[in-house]
Amino acid sequence: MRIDIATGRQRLSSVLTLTLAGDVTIDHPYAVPSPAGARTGGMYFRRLTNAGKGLERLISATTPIARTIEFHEMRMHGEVMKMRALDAIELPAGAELSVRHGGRKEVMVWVQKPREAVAAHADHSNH
Amino acid sequence: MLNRRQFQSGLLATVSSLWLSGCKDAPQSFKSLDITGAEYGRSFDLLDPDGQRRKLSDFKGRLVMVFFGFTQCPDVCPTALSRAVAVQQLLGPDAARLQVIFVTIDPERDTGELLRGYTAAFDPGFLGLRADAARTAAVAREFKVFYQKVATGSSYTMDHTALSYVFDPKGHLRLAVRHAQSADEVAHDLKRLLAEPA
Repeated sequence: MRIDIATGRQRLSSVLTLTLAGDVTIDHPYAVPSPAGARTGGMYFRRLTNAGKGLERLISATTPIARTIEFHEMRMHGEVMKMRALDAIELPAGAELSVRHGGRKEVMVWVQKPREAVAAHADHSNH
Repeated sequence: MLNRRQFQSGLLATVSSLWLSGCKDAPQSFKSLDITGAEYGRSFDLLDPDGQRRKLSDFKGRLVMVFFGFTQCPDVCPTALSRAVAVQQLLGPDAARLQVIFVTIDPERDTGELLRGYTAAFDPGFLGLRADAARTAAVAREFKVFYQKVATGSSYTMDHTALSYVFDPKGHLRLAVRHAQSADEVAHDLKRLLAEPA
């Protein structure tokens, strides 16, 4: 999977695990196959790490598999799931953020795309 | 006459058998929220993908597990339905005594066709149900399910309650399964319900 993520200072690119120029590391970005009919899906990261001494903000992302990508925060309020778009994923100095599917994530990347492409691509990324 | 050691081990055995029987007889041994006797979630009357009316009473004699969600839900709904698949596997032959139902709280986008393909992606036996906006609101109210449209970019997402409700084979609402519960826990509870006298 290829995903390009832009921070305030640079444009970053990763293929699976890649140490990026600068201090942000993206470890294993992945997606799970979208069920039939779903035109959206989540993309996840085993870990985002900011080894630097300053705050990093991931402010946008692009990928050929989706029309739009949004960063979302997802929280359980009691037993109610609430999802809200974020302007950026903030990584304070030294932060490690795990964004896993079906987990107790607080942040996810939300993709929107006609279903065939998302499903096909996500299937491929799981192999 | 008992020596001290025999007496002690005898006492220990008595205590542990009391503890065991206490455990066995404890009414609160479901892992899910036990909502037996709830005065809500008494029934539903919705449409299946073929446009046929489906009511709770159609499933009498089987467990019914109902989840309210929407097909464009990126994480919580697929997680809940994947867990239901895992639960069926854990139930083995008893899986035939469970009907999993997915009720959309986004009928605007979730057509019958879409629901059919979506539930089948998890298990061909899962049933997707829908209704018009007014009836959807009514059934959600009946089940104390909260949902709300939230604009995002050019589209929208839905906030919603992520509990799964379980009816026993007599059609009584018994359990509310929390989102964080494991398939093992759910299977444990469902087996317990199936073991109850008919």
